[in-house]
Amino acid sequence: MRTFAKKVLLLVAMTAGTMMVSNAQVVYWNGLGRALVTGSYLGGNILKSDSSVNQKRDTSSARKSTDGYTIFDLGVNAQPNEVLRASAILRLKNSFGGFYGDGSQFIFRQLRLDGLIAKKVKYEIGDIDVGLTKYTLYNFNEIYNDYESEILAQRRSVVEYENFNFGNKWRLQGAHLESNLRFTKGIEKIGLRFFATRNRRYTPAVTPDRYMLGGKVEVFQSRNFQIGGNYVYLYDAAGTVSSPALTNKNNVLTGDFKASHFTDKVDYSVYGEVGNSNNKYTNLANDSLSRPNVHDYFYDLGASAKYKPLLLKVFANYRSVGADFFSSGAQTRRTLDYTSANLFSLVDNNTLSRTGTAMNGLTLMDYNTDQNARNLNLQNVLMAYNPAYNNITPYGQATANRKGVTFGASIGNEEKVIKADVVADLLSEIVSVGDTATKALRKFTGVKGGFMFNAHKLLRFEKSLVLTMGGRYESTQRSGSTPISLQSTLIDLGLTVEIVKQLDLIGGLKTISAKGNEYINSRNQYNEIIAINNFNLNQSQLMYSYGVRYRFSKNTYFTVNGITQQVKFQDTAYRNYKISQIFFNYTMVF
Amino acid sequence: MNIQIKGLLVVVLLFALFSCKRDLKEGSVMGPTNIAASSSFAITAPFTIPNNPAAPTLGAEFFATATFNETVSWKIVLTGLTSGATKMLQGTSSYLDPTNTAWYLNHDGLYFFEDGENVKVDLIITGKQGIYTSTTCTLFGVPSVAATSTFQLVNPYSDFESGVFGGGGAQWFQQINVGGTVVIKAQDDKIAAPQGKYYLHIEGVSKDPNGFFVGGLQQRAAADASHYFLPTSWTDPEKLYVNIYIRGMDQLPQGYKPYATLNFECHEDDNLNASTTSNCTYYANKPAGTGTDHFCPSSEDAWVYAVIIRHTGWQLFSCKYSDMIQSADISNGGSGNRKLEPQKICRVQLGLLSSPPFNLVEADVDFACFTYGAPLDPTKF
Repeated sequence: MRTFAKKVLLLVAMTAGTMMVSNAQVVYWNGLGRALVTGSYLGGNILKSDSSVNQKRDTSSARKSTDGYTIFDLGVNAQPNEVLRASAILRLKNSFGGFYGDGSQFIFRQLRLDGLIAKKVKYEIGDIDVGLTKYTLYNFNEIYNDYESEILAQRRSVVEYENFNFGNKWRLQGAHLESNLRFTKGIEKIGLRFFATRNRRYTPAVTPDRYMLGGKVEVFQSRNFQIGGNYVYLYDAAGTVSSPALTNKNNVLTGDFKASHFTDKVDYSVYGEVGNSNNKYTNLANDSLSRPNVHDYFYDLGASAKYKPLLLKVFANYRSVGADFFSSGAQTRRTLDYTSANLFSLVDNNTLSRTGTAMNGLTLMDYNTDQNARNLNLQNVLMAYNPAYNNITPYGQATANRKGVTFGASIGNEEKVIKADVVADLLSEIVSVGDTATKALRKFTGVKGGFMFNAHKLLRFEKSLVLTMGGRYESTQRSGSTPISLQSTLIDLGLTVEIVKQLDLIGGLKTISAKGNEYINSRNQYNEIIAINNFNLNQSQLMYSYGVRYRFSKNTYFTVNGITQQVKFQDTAYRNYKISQIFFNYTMVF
Repeated sequence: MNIQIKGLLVVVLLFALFSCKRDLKEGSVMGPTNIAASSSFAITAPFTIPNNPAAPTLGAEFFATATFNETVSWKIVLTGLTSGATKMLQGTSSYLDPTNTAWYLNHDGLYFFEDGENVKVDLIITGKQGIYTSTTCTLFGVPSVAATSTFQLVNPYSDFESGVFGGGGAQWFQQINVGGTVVIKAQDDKIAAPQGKYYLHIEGVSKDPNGFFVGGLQQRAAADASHYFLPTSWTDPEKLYVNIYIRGMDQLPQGYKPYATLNFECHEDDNLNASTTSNCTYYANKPAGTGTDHFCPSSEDAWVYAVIIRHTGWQLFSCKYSDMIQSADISNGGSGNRKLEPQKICRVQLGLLSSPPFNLVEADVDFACFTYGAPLDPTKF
């Protein structure tokens, strides 16, 4: 009896600890805890002297680093009734090396109110995640990683969590309304969405606040036919700072549709999106410097067929995106490709940025592990990018000055023995960039794809055995007075083996090589190309990682990984370097 | 939905699609001309700087010469080895001469070129990897910043290049009596001045009773009511700008708090007469012997541009005079005629504040100036 009483008491205490109910108000908690420690080492030719290029031995740049932190994100959710909820995520952070509160932080990571108005309109206010279509508002991935190994994907997830990269939405501040109007005949429903947000982080006295209004109206006639309209209006509010020199207004209006025909075995669809953009820069201090309104349009039309018994899908698209099409919400990059890295930021006796243009920017490891290399703000000019990683669509599917065909196929899904897909791009520019003499156009050829092989399902093992492999090849060619020839290849390999229950051996490899030349545009504050710069690439990178992981539950694990990044410059071998790192990570999600 | 409605929607879509027009049609070219060198490219007359090592005045004396065996796109990148200033010249031609490489000693980035510094001059040829050839020169005779019809420093010493707070009637008064250290510093390996070799550094904890004002500089105009700080033609507050470089601290020393505000204040002589203890309450309440000037804090306007320092590194801040706000202190600049009258500016003050009060704060500032017609465009210098 006493044992039973103890159990009851314990149950009550646990329940009280996780949920409080009083006067119909429910308060519950969720969150994430993470302890992360890295130890890193820099080596390679870049630290050595080389008299042939007047490189002195590096005696002062950092070559060992230990870093890390412990965070506890406590989500507090108060739900007084069915139609209202207020939530906040409170963050407690203690950086590695902080003792007795020194270096500790207590911040609000997120504040949000959400609920239902009249049981019809769902609303969110505060820190919200919003997205529309790939041409209006879309936070596209920085690099092809569809078949990235689990060990590297897990590492990347830390960076994405810290930067609110949840899927392809942008984290913004504002309000979001959503509602569905249902009909009894004619059409099934009309979906309505509207959002109003503030984008740019406020920098006092200099940068005006950047606001974005937008929404979507979507008519679902049935599952056979849907049509929608999308609108995004992004503008700088001049009155929010004293004397802003420049403001920008960017309108993007698109329409999208999908028509489907279903049979027992095959589903057929045609779909597409068309729209245009208007972009205007106003120089408030000197109107003569203001730029006229620039507008352009795009269309992207496609068809697909899906053979349901095999989950086999084939598709083909044709798109044409005008050279002046500009959509801040869809073309802003989520990475700062040449920013100063957090890890070993300077080399060559603290005189050379390891990730500057002279060193070809961020490495694979920086993309995967550097949480400070991410851009959180929608930009009103096209950002610089590294053509080695993505030269065909550096600004996502909405990349301007592209036309051509994309086609591909996919089969299976993650629950099946195999999941695989392949996508090919055959694109070209619409107008020539810089080549006034011969007006030659770049031609792009790209192939990407991969597979996930769940071997344990084929072999009927209880324990997990998963192999992944992915790849991406790109070629850019141009003849004419300024020839271009650039090839890059990216390969992913991954293996996860559950050796005893919930204990995994995990390994992964990612490599990229790029060879050839390209010309990178420098743009001014009006998004105009003001200079075209040589960019020669003859570089290869190899990143591999291995380790063990113990899964306490689905979302709670401890992992110890070793990770090595090699960077080789074929023409300037004296700058080759290698970073080795050991990485401890305990993550708990509740 | 019947077939007619579906057809109508398709027509609408197609109409929307084909009703759009492109300014840049197929066959157009965007961006500056870019022609790559062929494999047989060669320089037939060497790349030189004829005036090396001199750029004697602010004119077109500085230029490069060379002749190529074909027309190519090129860039000349000039980098100041002391200042870190950069300037890029670019073009497409088969030769370099004064017509296409004249350089007026202006710069592209944050930093200004300095007198007497060595400059690396790199020639980059499109289609050729890296720097094709390089040379150096020394900049002699880089002129001091001079007033123009649309630009003037706050006073001749507000670029801090003399290393002193002034003289000859244009004296900056140091406001160090309330806890701050106000010094002119020479640039070093860690902190480079954006313009010239010197900048102003202010730091400290306020000793004011309210804990806000830490320290700064003030300059009072000469006692000439017909001509205070600015040219008499600069009367439009919609055209006048105050400009200043401010450096936010990226790595604050332990104990320093990032709660600094830099006030750029303009004080007007609303009634165009000298203030005395008999006509100005503010001075009447001060101890005997307190210096007076044209501005009466208790009855005339002080306009304030407050820059809350949340940035790191040097940054240029500009503010239109009509966007400045009146002082919130009714006994010190907040009780004037509330008219923006640039021609009556008789006192300028740069002050560092701590908010919340009593924090240890610091800021570096440089190149405090006025412009008329537009904010400061540093690339013209």
